[in-house]
Amino acid sequence: MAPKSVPKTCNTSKRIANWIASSEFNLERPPLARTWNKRFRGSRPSQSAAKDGAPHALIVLTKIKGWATRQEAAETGFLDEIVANGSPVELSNSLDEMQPGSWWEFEVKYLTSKGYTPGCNGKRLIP
Amino acid sequence: MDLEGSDIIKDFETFLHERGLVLQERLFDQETFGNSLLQCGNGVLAVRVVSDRGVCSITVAESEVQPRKWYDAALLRDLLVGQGDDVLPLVEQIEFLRKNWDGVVQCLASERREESRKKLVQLGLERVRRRIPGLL
Repeated sequence: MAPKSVPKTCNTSKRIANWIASSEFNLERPPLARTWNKRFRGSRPSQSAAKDGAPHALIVLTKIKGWATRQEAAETGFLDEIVANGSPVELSNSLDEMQPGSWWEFEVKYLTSKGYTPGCNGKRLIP
Repeated sequence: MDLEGSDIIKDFETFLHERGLVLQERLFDQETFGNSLLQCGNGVLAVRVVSDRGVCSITVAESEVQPRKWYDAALLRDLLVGQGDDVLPLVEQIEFLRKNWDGVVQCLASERREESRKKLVQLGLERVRRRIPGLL
């Protein structure tokens, strides 16, 4: 029987989208704002729009040059909170399934650089 | 990336249908970075195309035996052809699977699959050690 669940990496990105919407993360830094204005004629998404429950505004951002840098900033902000809390991280899949170049790999690499190590038979990263 | 609107994904889906895999799931999460999922399978194998935060990957699972264990195209390439670039663009992932489909089926859906599974886990762990030194 085929699995019906959404990939867990996507669950992580849902958490990150929610985190962006609920945090002080600033979506309107100058380089991005300029790009946005040029391409979308001033209809910028705003932090307040995201806070009002419109993280879908982020979708279009993924099409903008330089978004990867912004995404990295969002990812590290999200992970820094986890590190600051000293929370262990549950892994959705075993490490041998980690796809090179994925955000999942980015997250594991970042947490490793902050001193996290695998534990619980490779099912967790522990600070 | 919206998988729905991509011609190369449509062509790949047609390729999978022609090999007997039927559509099992199609998702588009507009509110989360436009994440998308397309999954086709035939009861023995499943192929999944995922766009997660803008990064696209194609993975294959033995849906009959280990439905939650997904092997990415680069890992299957390492097994069937030999080691190459760890990060493959979507076009190259598709090209590899198209060209080596019979090999993928043979290694994951035949009596060889136990041996293939062990090798794939080993290759996956070696890759992690190579890419994140000190983690394992």
